[in-house]
Amino acid sequence: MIAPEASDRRFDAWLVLILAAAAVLLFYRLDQRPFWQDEAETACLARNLLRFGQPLAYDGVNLISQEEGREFGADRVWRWSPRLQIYLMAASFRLVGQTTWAGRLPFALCGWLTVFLVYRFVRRIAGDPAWARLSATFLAGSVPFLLFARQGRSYPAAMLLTMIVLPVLFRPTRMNLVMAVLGLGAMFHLNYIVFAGFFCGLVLALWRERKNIPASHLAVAAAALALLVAPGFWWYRIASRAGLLHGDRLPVQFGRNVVSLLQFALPLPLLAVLLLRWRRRPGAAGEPLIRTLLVLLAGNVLGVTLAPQEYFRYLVHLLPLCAIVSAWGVRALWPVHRPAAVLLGLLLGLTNWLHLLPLEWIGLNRRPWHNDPAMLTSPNIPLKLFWTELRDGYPDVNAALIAYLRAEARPGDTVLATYGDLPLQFYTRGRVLGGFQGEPPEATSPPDWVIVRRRTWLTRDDRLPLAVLFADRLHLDADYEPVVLPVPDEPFGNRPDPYYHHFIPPREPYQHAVLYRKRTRE
Amino acid sequence: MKVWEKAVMFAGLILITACGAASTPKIASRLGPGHFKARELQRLDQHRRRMEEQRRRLETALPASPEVKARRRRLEEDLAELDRMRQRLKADIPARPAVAPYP
Repeated sequence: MIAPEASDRRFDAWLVLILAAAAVLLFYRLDQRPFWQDEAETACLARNLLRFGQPLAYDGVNLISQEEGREFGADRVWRWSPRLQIYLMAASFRLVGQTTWAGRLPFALCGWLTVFLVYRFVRRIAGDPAWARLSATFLAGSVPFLLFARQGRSYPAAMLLTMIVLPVLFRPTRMNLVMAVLGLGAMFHLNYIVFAGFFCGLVLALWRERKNIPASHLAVAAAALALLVAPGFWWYRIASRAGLLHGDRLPVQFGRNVVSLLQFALPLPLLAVLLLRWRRRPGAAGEPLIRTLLVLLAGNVLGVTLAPQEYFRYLVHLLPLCAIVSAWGVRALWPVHRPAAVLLGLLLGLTNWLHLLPLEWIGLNRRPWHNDPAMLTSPNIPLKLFWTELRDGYPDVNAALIAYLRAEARPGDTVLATYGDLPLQFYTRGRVLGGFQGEPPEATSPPDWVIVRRRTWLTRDDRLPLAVLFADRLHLDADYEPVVLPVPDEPFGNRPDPYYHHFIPPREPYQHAVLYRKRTRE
Repeated sequence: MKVWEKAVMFAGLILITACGAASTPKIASRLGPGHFKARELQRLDQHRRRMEEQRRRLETALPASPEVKARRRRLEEDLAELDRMRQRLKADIPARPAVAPYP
């Protein structure tokens, strides 16, 4: 490997190619599918922020809630999740317009910058251009990365902030320390669960690298961070969420988090080899850096396990680190056995076979019953699946419902949707009730439109939501006319989670999305 | 790295490559279409048996509280969807739903 000072500022044409390819994968047809429920929540709040100066959950017509009103108080100001993602989207809406493309643009930009920072980090800290190029390539070609980076949610910004904070572990200069404090503060105000996990990992990694960083500097940094973070505990009412934690689920959540990371980001055989080599001193070139990253990953997974629920999205900010580790595996193998290094590179860059098959053989893979073989939970060529969806399109359930209502609903119409209410709020006119808004729909004036989704989601108390109970009481057969849409009624739409994202639509037979139109409308 | 270690490592990578390629839906369904479908059906059947066991427990062992009724409803929906997945596997109709444009 080359000394950092000699190489880290030379122009690299490969970087330009990698960034160009990343740009295509990140920005091409970015608005092909509409916002799904979570994205639409951010979009509706961003719109209200522009309109009212605050992220209000109620605009006088529609209520934004997926937690039966827990997200706000009597003033209807949003306090459930931090607001940085709302502000990012609102800024884009103000500059570019209130569209799907504008909503996702700042986040896709964050993803694109993350690819650059991954390259820069490896190039500057390790001084190895080949490793840097591989790391950036692996990240840019990672389909889980692409799916999450093309979302109007916090995930790509969290990845970017991870790469902003990371250099302080290996080059604790004053600038890096300042950037780390600012990055961590921003991460807290982006997603405090991701922050908590990352902070746990960072503390462990700092302990490992403690000889490099003066304690006085750390103390000042910690104090500065506390100042940035402390107001958030009151703004976001974090203490009130304690009741959502379930200690008995922690072992299962931990296991699932580990399996998710191994299935989609860091293959078990590579991790096993690194752990078996742990005691070798000094190890291969770059190996001490990799060990620190593994400590950071492990601490992060432990920290995130404490979240109320286990979601892969709480681990997505670790994808850049996993790309760096995976690229190191190929780079370290190159001088030892070139054919094996090439094969390993192809397996890691183009397939998910090394990630999935070893787990399958030992019975640890996770593939929910509703997954079909053309998903990331089965052996595939992920980029081919990803490109197939981009090229051919997808019969998105939200797109179909939105298109129909925009064409047929009248201004002022009321829509009751048992789920997927928030995309309808963003894209259509009129009042949209339902989902988990928690407020009982009015019984005296039945809605003009009713959408009963195939899958019934339960509340946190394991009960049927009020919208479902109300829809059950309506006489749909007598008072409404069904409109069957030619698309499958999939639960979410464009959800990026690998356990839920379909790239190729199902063939018949499937449950069609159905709208019910009130018969007495003139 | 010793010679035998390199050999084992390379053989392992080749094994993963071969098994992975043979496991992808496109190749697996061509190498052994019956075997691929049978494996997927077996997976779905295992899930179906588990769901039916849950349904029996909900129907017989637990009181009919709102939570139990809600879980039973969702279980029925999941069973119906699982059956549709089985039918799709068994059928060979390559129908692709039209892509719904949205403004």
